[in-house]
Amino acid sequence: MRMAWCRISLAFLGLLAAPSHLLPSSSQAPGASRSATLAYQAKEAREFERAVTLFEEALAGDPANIPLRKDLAYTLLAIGRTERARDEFGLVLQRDPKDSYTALEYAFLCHETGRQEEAWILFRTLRSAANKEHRATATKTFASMDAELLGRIARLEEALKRDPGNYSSHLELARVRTVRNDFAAAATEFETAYRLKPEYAEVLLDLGSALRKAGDVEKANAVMLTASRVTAAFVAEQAKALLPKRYPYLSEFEKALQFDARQPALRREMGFFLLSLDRKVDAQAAFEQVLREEPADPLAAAQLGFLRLEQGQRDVALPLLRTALQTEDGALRERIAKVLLQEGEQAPAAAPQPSRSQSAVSPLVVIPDAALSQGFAEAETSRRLARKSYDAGFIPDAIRLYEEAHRLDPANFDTMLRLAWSLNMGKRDDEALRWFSLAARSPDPVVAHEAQTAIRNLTMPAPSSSGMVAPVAREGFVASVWAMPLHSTRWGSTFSYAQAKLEWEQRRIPVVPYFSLRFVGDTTGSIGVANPQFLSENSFIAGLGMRTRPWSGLVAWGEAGSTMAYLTSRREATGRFLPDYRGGISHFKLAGPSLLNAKAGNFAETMNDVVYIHRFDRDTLAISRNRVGRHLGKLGGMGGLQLQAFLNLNLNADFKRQAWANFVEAGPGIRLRWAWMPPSLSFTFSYLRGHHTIRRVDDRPNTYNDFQAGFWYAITR
Amino acid sequence: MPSPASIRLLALAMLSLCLSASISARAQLSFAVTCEAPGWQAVFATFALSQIESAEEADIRVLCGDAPAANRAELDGWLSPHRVLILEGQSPIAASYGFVASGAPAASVRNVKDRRAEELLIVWQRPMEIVPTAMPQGAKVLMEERWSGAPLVALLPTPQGAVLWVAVPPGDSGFDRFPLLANALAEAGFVAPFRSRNLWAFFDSAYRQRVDLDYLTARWERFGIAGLHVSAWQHWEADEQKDAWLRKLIEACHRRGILVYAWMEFPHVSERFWAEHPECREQTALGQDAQLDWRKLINLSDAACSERVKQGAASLLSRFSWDGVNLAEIYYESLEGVQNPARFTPMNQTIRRQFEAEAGFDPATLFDAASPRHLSRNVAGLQRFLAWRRHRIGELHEDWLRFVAAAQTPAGELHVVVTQIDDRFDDSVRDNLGADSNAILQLMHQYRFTFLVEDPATVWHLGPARYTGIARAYAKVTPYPERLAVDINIFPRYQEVYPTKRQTGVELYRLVHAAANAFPRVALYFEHVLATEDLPFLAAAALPAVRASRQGDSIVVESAQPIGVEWRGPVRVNGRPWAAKDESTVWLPRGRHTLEAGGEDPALILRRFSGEVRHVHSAGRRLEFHYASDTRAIATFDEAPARLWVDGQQLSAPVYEAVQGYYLLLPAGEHLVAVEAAFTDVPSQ
Repeated sequence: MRMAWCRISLAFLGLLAAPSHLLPSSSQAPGASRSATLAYQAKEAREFERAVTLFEEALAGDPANIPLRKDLAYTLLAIGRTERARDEFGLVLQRDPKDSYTALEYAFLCHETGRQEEAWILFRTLRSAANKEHRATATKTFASMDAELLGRIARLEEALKRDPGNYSSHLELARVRTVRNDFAAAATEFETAYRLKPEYAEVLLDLGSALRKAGDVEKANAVMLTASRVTAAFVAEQAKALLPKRYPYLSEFEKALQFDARQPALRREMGFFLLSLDRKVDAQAAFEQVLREEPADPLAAAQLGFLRLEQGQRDVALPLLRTALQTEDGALRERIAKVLLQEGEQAPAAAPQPSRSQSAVSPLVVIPDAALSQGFAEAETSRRLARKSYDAGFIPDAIRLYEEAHRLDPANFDTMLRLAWSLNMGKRDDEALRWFSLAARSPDPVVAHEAQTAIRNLTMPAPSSSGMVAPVAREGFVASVWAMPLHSTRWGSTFSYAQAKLEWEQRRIPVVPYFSLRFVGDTTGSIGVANPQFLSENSFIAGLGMRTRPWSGLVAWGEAGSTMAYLTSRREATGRFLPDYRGGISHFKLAGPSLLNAKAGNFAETMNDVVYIHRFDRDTLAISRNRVGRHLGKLGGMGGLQLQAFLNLNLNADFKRQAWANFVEAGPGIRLRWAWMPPSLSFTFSYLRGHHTIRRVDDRPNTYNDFQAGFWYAITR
Repeated sequence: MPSPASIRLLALAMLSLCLSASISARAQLSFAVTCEAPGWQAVFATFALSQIESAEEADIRVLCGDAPAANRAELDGWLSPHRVLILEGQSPIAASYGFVASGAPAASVRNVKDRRAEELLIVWQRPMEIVPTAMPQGAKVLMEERWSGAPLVALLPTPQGAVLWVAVPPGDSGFDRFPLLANALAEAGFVAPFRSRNLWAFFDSAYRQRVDLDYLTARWERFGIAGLHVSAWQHWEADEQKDAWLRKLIEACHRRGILVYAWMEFPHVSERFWAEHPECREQTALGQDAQLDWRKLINLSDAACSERVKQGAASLLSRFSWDGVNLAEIYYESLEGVQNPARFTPMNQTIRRQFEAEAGFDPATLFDAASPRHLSRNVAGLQRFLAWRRHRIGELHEDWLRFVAAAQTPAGELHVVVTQIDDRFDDSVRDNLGADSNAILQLMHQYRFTFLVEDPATVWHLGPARYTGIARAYAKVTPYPERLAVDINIFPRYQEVYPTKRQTGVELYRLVHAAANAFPRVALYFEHVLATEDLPFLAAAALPAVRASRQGDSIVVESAQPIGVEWRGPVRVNGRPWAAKDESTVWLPRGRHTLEAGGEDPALILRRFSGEVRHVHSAGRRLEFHYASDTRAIATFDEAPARLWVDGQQLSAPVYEAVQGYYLLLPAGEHLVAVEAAFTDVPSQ
């Protein structure tokens, strides 16, 4: 039997009242435009296609013209474009829901074009229409339609009683129930049909739709998520269009797997998602489950192998990795081989390379490897495109493509690393940090090291004397503010150093221009005449500057601007405005864990600046601050306290050989923060014993003790 | 000042130029490609274009993406309003027209939107990485990546002619990536050079009740429909309003030279028959009334019910001026066979009694799990019943062929078509449906009918090549291969197919072309599901292999079937004025013919003929032609014929008004006809 006709012809059952009285109007709608006039003329001349075009033109300028739209619909009916005609009547009905005449037209056309469920509910509703004739037509039609449906339901239910495992009957019953708008019952039948023959994935679309109409949106999404990951591309594409545009939540993965537990690909994807959330135990369980269902799944085997290896379970890991070597993905095979070699395994025999079928196409076109699985081929394509996007500076595209690549090939640590860099470039450091953390677990030491370095850079925004924040690669305008109030017993005063900076970061140019506003002040207003300019300028310093990008922790910079003294005494001494030119080289290096790191470890850091300041008698200062100590990690039971204990060694010198600028100081110190505080906030306490290396001309001693307490806070947007 | 002689010479040259232009002013005959391009070759072969080496002489040129640098000046000189240049990708020559990389990153393309049919879901089997291309000013994007909008196919009109740009080749099959590519070519100026008038279409009037019939029949005529098979079950019982509508439809078809068949779908009879005769309802193996999807099955084995059905059929055939009757899908249900007793037929009392009398057991016990004769324990019994069931289908066909042969109808003898699902290519349907084509084909010895093979859903994914296999399978078992036809089901397929679920565009054209190569007749199931985008090239695709070439101002055409050639103006065929033509087409018999521009048209033109014209000869006011037709034939002339001779015998036949001209109804079979125009004046010199 032909497959097309599941519809009954109401019209030829004698139920359609339309032909006699629902005739197209041929008179022109009032207030019609020139297009409308021409449309009616074309229709009179039986040039229907031209009339349709003209009606459409007229409606573009007058979309609320209901008579015009109806006449368009009737003209469409005349040329057999029934679905378009239905939709036009639908628009008319939206504007005037009480128009039972149009509602009847729409209901009949819904029925004719396969939208029986809409037709059913409309006929049912129209049984109470105000117009007697319309009411009678709707009542008669609905009665006929519903009796037919009820008859089919009774037959199918009876058939299912005798043969409960009959796929066709469940499916047909589901469809009949859908027509009767009984979506919950329809969903039950669709689900039963799916469970009987899960290979017919298109049923998932019907099931998802029925669930959504029945109000069970959560389960509908779970079903659609399942459908979106099936291998049948048409089903997957349609399901994707019905899912939210974002990546699914973990709970949605879980619900999809609750709906249908046997979805190895979906479970594997969830495993990688769990990994990205740092839920290794759950991820491991997911991969293990995948391997129970699909023992040869190379991705799950590879990832589980890596995880086991990380846990030191070499005996378990190596067989898994050997299993995963069967993959057709050359890149994955290479990664596994590298790890096996590191583990002292013999170099695995090169697996046969899948043949490439390259059709005669433009060189711009790369056809995915025929032998590769679709997912890997797509992942490789996404990675390639992402790299191009990144290089071209299209960071959002790069992020999207790397995310897609990760979804398709979740075991690829290089993808994670590159995604992290892209997020970093896209000013999404929190997310970048998460991906760097994942990439840091890579069995490839190069990837892991790069990720670890990036983590340090991201989590330790250290100041230099130039006020540079630890370099974070961004694009566009980057605003940063930092402040470092510091109390010194040596000077008996509290100093405050702060800087607000607006940088214009562009990858295309080698330097970063910026505008800077510094603040330098103290609570006493003057700290002795010998060194007023160094510690206590009591000024705002505005300037335009330029810096290089960090290279091995080294940054060169220069500024030109003006200082504005805000204290009267200062203004009287030096004038309110003074030109200010400064520049220098700044260097920062950290080895070991930063204060943000949850794990303990030894660390050493050095901050070195050479600064030329025109206003300081064209002097050049060299400042070196060094700390060596122990990072104690996150201390339990102390509210998430993170603490570092260290020894300071600070060296200062200048070219002009001024006594105040040449000294050495050393002593113990601590730096701490609590986990709940912003990552860029920390407190520092140091006790320093210092000695001036050039004898001072005033009567102050050359040796001194200094207790310094201060905090550091920076914001970058 | 030019002399009168030179003016005459100039006028002659101008006339000659005009005539020459009229030969093939619009259509393209040949194409050239710069690379191995199976996709382009498949597309153009579907429309019988020849591939030639000389690019300069080609009507269409494809410059592949990796083609050596082309000469822009040479291309500008070659391009003309009736030539099409196709560029692929971002080659230097494409760049010279302004198709350059947009600078946007490459994107993975899988889901394509065609602006002509935006809701059509086009999904590529394999995604491709494509570097987006910036469009030059004036270019019109025809297809794009669905989500990013990256252009994939665009049209650039230039002062010389049209340039069609594609981001990537169309794929080896010609429809892998751009199913509506032929429509894009048409926008660039492509006109198919040949067409057929040989297609049948199934027509369910329930879907077309509000349509303007003149509009619809004009469309069918334009797109090569020769016969319409109209849902008879919708008109089974006499009804004043519905009968009037059907008469109007049949008249409208005849005025366009389209034949009309009564399409019966036994054992479904009609909704009303089912409602009024519950005692005649077929039963499933579960003992339920057999209403399976839209069909409500009637027990045709019951003598009383069968008689009632025949009375209805006689009434139907006599009330309307049918040209033929289609006994379609007389078989049992269902495609799931015995696996699904809820859909398994027949199991009515008559059948059960008849079988039990022969075999000694009730076939219902095969489906009774408690019975020792249950099919799981009774393979021999099941096989016996299935074989008996197939035999019953053969008997039903014979019964109905006998009935139709004896039926009294306005047209006299009706052309009979038997539509039956294929069981040679996919033999699973033999047991599942009881279909037995071999038994039916043997009836050709007793009854004259065309056997229309229904393409089963199980093989819809196999591509155009399957028709050759199906044709071969039937040629082996039929005594009359010339009476075979095939039916293409245009329907969303349940298999994993790309790039569209329903056959459309180039895929449909290739199916039609392959089917036309394998079978004498192709039917489309069914008329109202054909997308508007699919119509323009149907007639062009429905042709078997054609060879054509230009030889100076002439075109030489060789075809195994009658063929229409795109042509404007008077024409001489094989050196003689030719009378079988209309405004845009010259209709030729099968064979080799040379066409050249003619001076004037003959006095009487045969605009359209529903059968096969084998020879045409014009002499003054008289037109003679030799034809063959399975049905009575509709011959449409530009003027009303005054006198008619059939096989030398002068006949008086009514002349009806056609949409353009007048038509006569001529007898079925093979005949020599002569007609004379009502007025005899040939335009004076």
